[in-house]
Amino acid sequence: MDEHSDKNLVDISCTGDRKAYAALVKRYYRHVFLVCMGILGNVHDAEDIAQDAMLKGFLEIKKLRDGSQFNPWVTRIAKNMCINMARREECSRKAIEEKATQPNETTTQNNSIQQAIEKLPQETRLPLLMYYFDGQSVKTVAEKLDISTAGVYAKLRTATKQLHEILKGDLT
Amino acid sequence: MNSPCEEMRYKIADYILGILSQDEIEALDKHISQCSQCKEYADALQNEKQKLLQFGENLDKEMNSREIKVIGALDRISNVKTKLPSIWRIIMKSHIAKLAAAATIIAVVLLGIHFLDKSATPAYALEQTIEANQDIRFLHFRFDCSNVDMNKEAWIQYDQNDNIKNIRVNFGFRDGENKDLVEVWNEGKTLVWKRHVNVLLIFDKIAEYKIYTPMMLAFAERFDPKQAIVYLYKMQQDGRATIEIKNGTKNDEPIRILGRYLRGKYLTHYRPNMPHWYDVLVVDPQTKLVTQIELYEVKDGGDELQGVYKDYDYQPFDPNIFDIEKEVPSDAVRIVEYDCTDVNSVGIERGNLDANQIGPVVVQEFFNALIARDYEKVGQLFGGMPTNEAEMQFGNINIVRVVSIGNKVEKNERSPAYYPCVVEIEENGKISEWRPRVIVREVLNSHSQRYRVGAVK
Repeated sequence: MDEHSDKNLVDISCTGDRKAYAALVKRYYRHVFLVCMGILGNVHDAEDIAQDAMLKGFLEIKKLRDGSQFNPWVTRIAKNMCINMARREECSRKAIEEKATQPNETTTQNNSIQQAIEKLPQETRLPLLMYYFDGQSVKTVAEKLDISTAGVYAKLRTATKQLHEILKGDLT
Repeated sequence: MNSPCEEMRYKIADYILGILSQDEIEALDKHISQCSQCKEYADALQNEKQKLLQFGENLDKEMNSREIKVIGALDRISNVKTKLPSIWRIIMKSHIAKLAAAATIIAVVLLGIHFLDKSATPAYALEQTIEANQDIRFLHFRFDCSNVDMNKEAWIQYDQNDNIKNIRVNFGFRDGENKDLVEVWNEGKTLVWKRHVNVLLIFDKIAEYKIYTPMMLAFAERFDPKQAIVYLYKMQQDGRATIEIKNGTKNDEPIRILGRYLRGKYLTHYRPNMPHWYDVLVVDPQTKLVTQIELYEVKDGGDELQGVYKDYDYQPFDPNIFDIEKEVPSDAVRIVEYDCTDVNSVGIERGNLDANQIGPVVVQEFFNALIARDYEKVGQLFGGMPTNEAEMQFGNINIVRVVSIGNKVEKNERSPAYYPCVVEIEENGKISEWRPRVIVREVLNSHSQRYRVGAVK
């Protein structure tokens, strides 16, 4: 299956062939996971949504008219699911109305890199994750995010600075 | 660490990112060798880069197992899609077999044995309903609540990608007060029309996003059949619910999908203290579309029906129903609800005063701020209106004296409660009287602790 084009795999998946779809999962799950991680900032949530998005993609594969567009299509599904999840989280926080304000986690010394990544703003977190976990190529990040390389440079610079400030406890 | 040379911060970040030219690296090296602060900063960033790379490696190590997990889940769904219907078709060839199979299902359910595989349980009906929902773009349904004197009627429109585009919900209360309100939501804008007091609430973007968007989406998630099935399935996967499917014994008998939420897990992301409830989705065996959703509360003396979402209708309707501005009378009082992130920053705290006593205090403070031309304060008293907007709206009113703030006039079908006021204003060197009606309301999410000016008419 690995040698097939995306379009072929999508066409075969439309017949209910899970092996064909599994090949698409192998090809694109990592990217979808990274995007989810970039939006949500949390590994467990990213795993959940990336899996759900892939499964939704399988259930709705017949809706995809141009099989060569599988990657952007399934990524869009994942993004929408992430946004909905983020909204529900917001709702949940609102509903619970945590009156007993939780102690502000300004424990500057013990901030792990994972916690720091979680605290980064979404607009800089996604390019940073893609850059470091996807071959450290600004050009690749620019292509995947559909922004200019100059734009990626700027976001990476900001992210580097923000991450440092979070780890130092200046920005929580 | 003291702040390093500001101009070097970006150079150091660029160096860490590996995007400096050789000349620039040499110049930076030279600077760092002479500047301990910048060296410390560069070391820290380098250290953080290593941590990032390590974190990435760890994430990558687990990527394969994540993919396997997804493919495993895919297998289960695949079984649902391909195997079960064909087995089902074979079994269902004879009428006797149908009865026998149905009897078996009922017997198993009655015995309370969950014998089907966790993921495969909902297979047959759920998958077909998901398929049937795919081309649906319009939905209209009603809700009757047994214990609360209220009914709802809702309209939902979807876009081509199956995302919700518009929602309208009409609420009718039969509690003698004749409350009657309409909520319309679409991405980025929420309007609430309180017909019984002739008020249109307009939520600004942040307030809308924080309050109405999640609320409406949570509502739609459970009662919009497109999402309700997926929601149940997800809850089951998370171990928060079990699903049982009861197929009718005859062809035209509805399929009933029982989504039983574990105690304390029903809608807990939305309402933490919900009692132990469960849903029953009734599916038309021919169209495979949901026709009704019943809500039950689990009680010791037997489960009790709490409400029914019914009359599900999937036929297209006029999308103008979402344009309630056309329905709102021109004399309606328009109140904007602003961002309520920090409720303590807007309005005035009630303190020991009761809801009636705080009203005149808010009005007086509001006029005082206008007299002082303190538009930041005006905006704050107006529920968080931005200062420039407050100046634009009230800047041309030159109040010189508050003559009187009258007793509250209670709400009626044409207006919310208001305070009739008399103030003197100066215009072109002349003093005249202005008699505005000032509406005071509680600050959103302040739990009746803070009050603000809602509107001035």
